[in-house]
Amino acid sequence: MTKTESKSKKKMNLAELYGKYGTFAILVVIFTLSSIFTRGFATQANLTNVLRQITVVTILALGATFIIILGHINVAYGSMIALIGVISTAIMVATGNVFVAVMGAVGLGLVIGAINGYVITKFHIPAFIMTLAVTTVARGSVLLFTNGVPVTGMGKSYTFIGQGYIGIMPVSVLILLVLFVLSWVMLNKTRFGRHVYAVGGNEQAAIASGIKSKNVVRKAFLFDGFTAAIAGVVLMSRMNSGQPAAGVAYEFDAITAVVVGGTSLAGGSGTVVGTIIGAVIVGIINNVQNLANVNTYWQQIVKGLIILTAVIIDKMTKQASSMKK
Amino acid sequence: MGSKGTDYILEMRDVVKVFPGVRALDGVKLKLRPGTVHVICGENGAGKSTLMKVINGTHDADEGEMVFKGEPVGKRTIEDTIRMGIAMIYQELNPVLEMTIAENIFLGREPKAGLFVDYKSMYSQTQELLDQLKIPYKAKQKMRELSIAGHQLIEIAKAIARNASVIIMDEPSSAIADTEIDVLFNQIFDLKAKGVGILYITHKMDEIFRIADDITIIRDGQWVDSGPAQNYNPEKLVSLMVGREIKNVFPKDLDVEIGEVVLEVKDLTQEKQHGGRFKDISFQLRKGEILGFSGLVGAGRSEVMRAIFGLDPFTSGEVLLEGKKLDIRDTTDAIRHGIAMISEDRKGYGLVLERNVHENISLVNLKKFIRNGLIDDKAIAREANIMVDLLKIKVAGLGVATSTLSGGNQQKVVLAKWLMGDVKVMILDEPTRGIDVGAKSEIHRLMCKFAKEGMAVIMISSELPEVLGMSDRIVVMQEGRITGILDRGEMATQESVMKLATHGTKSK
Repeated sequence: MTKTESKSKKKMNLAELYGKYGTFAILVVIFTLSSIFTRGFATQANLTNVLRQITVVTILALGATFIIILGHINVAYGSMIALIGVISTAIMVATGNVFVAVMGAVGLGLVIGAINGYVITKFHIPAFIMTLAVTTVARGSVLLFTNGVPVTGMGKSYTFIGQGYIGIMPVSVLILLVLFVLSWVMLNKTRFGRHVYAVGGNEQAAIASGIKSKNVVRKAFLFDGFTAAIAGVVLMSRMNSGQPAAGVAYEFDAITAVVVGGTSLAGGSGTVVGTIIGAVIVGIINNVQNLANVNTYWQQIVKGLIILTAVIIDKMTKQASSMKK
Repeated sequence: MGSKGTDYILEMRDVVKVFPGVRALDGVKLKLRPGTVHVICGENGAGKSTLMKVINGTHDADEGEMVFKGEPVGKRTIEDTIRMGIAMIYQELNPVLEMTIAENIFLGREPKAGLFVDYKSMYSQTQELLDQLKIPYKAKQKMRELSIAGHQLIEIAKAIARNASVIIMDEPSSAIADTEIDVLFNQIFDLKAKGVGILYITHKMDEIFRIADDITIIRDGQWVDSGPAQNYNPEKLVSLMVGREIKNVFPKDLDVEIGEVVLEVKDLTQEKQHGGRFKDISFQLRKGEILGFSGLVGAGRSEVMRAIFGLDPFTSGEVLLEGKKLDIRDTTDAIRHGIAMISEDRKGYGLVLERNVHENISLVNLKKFIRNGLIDDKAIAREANIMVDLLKIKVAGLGVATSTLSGGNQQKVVLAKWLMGDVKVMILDEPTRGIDVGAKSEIHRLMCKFAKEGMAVIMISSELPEVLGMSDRIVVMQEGRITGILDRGEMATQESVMKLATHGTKSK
C-alpha cells in the first residue's frame, strides 16, 4: 500500500510541478526569445508600455480568477466595463469629483456583480448564459444612455488614473499591484478564499463541510463586479473620454490570461500569481507582434490558438495525473 | 498441445508489472479452474486490480506469461481478451440509464437490418438470453428501473452474450445490499454449472466463504498463498493478507459508560414534496453509545441522517440535542450544534480531491484558525500533524493532494476534518466501505475511542457482521420506517436483523 502511494505521489508531484512552475517557465522562454529576436522589445520604455497595456485586462482577470476557480465564467466584461466606465465618466463630468466618480463606478460594478451572483445561484442558471445576457443588456444600456456619443470633458484628475505616473511607476500599474495583493490575500489567507477552492473543487463536499456554497459564489461575483468597475475607470481614463463602444473582446483576453496562467476551467485550482504571469505572457505576445508589424487579423488568429493550446495543456496534465489510478 | 494444462482455463505465471518507482506486481501466479469461483484477496493496493487489468489487457505485463485454454497468450488489448471470452465486470458500472436492457446489452454491436438497427431481433435475442439465465426482467425495460444488483446481472448477461468463459468481478457486492447479494450469487452458481471460470475480488469475509472454491492471497504485489477454500478460515485469511494477526475483526466496546441522551429524534417524516423517503422516525442516542443502523440499500437510512444533518429537508417531526429543539436549515446549523456526518460517498461528499490534506483537514473548522482576519496556516499545520499522527494517516506531507491517497487514508482525513472541532454527535454512513482490512479495523478502533471520549456515534452499515460487532443497539429500517430497535447481545443476530430488514413488523 505504501509502495503504490509513494508511486502516485511521485507522479502527482510532476503534474503539480508543472502546474506551479510551468507557466513561469513559459514566460521565461517567451521573454528570452522576444529579447533576442525582436528589436526594441527589451527596453525600459517598451516593457513599461507592455505593463500599461495589460493593466485593464489583468485587473479583469483577477476577478475572473475567482469566478473560474469556482467553475463559473463571466463573458460580459467588455460591455460591463463600457457601461460602468461611461457612467463613471458622466458622474465625473457632472460633479467634477473623482472620488464620487470612482465610487459611482464601484457601486454600479457591485450591483451588476450582485445581480450576476444572485440569478446564477437562485435559479441555477449557467453563468455563461447569465453573463451572455448581461453582455447585450449592458452594451444596449450604455448605447441608450449615451446615444452612441462618447462622454467628454472628464478633466485631469480623472485622466491621472489611467495616464499619470508616480515617479517612474504608472498609476494604473500601481492600482493593479494593489488589487493583485488584495486578491492574493483574499484567495490564500481568508476563509472566503479557501471556500472558493472547496466549492470549485467539489461543491457537494463543501456543503457537507458546512459551507454555504451559494454565498461563496455570490461574494465572488461581487468581487468580480468590483474589479470590472476599476478596470472600467482605468480604461476610460486612458481614452480621455467615456467610450460606449469600448471594451469589445476584453472578456476574451481576460479569460485567456487566467487560463494561460494555469487556472482550470473545470474549477478547483488556480492562482492569482498564475493569472498575472498569464496576462504578461499574452501581453508580450501581443507586443512582439505589434513590434514586428504582424497584421492584426493574424493577431486575432494567434490569440484564439493561444487559449486553445492552454486549455488542451490543462486537460492533458489533468489526464496525466489521473492516469496513475 | 491441449492435453497439457487443460485442468485450468486460465493460468498466470510469475507476472511482474512495474510502474515508475514501484513493482505493482512482483511474481504473482494464479490458476483458475473452469466451473469454479476463485477469490482474490488482499488489502487495497495489494495489486488485485492491477492483476485483473493485466489479464484483460488494460496493462501490459513486464514479465511472466498468461495461458488461456492451454494456449499461451502474448501481448493483448482489451478488445482481444473480450473476443477470446474474458469479460470484466467493473466495480462501478456505467450503464446508459435511459436505454433499455437490450440496447445496453447490444451497445456498440447492434444487429443491423440493412442500414437500420434490427430492434426486433435485438429484443428477441435479449429476452431469450434473460430467460435462459433466469434473470427476471424484460428486454424492453429501461436500465433506470433496475437496482444496482440488476445492473450487474445485465452486465453478466452481456458477458454471456459474448460467450465469455472467464468472468472477472471486481468487488461486485460493494454497492449492493445483503439480500440482493443472493441474486448475484445464484447467478454465479449457474455460471459455474455452465463451466465458466470466475475471478472474484472482495473484502468481505462471509462472502469469501460462501462462494469461493479456491483462494489466492496477494500482498504488496506478491503472491502469498493459494489453495482450496476449505484450507482457510477468516482469521488465517486476514493474517495472510496483512501479514499480521488481527485478533478481533470487529472490536467490541470496552466497557464504555453509556451516559445521558444527547440526540433525540421524534416522529421525523419526509413527505413526498421533500423526497418522501422516510416516515415516523423516532430514536434516542446516548453519550458514549454506538447506535447501528441496519437495513437494505434504499431503506432510507442515509436519507434520515441527511435530513438530521441539514443536507435534505424534512416535513415534520423534531430533532432535539441535549433536550433542546434544533432548527436545522442547512449543514452550517447542524455543524454549529456539534453534529458531524461522514457520507458513504467519500469522493462526492467527503473530500475536495484535487486540494491537499492541509486544506481538506481544516475546511470545517477554519474559523478556529483565523488570527486578525487571516488564516494562520502554521496553526493549522500544527494541529493537522497531530491528527495525522493520532489517526496514523499514511501521507508524505500535508501538501499532498487527497486524490492520491488510498481509500482508508482518505477516510481518515475525512475523520480528522471533523475531529479538529467539537463533535457531540458523529454520524458515519458506511464508514468502511471499500476500505482494506487493516484500515477498517483502525477505523473501528477509532469509533470505539470516540464513544469512550463521550461522543455519541451513529453508524449506518450494510455489512451485518460490522453492525452486530460494533453497535450497542441496532435500529433496523425497512422502506422508510423503523421496524425494530435491537439491544446488543442475544437479541441482535444476523437472522433477527435480516428479518426486520426484509419483512419487519412495526414494533415499538
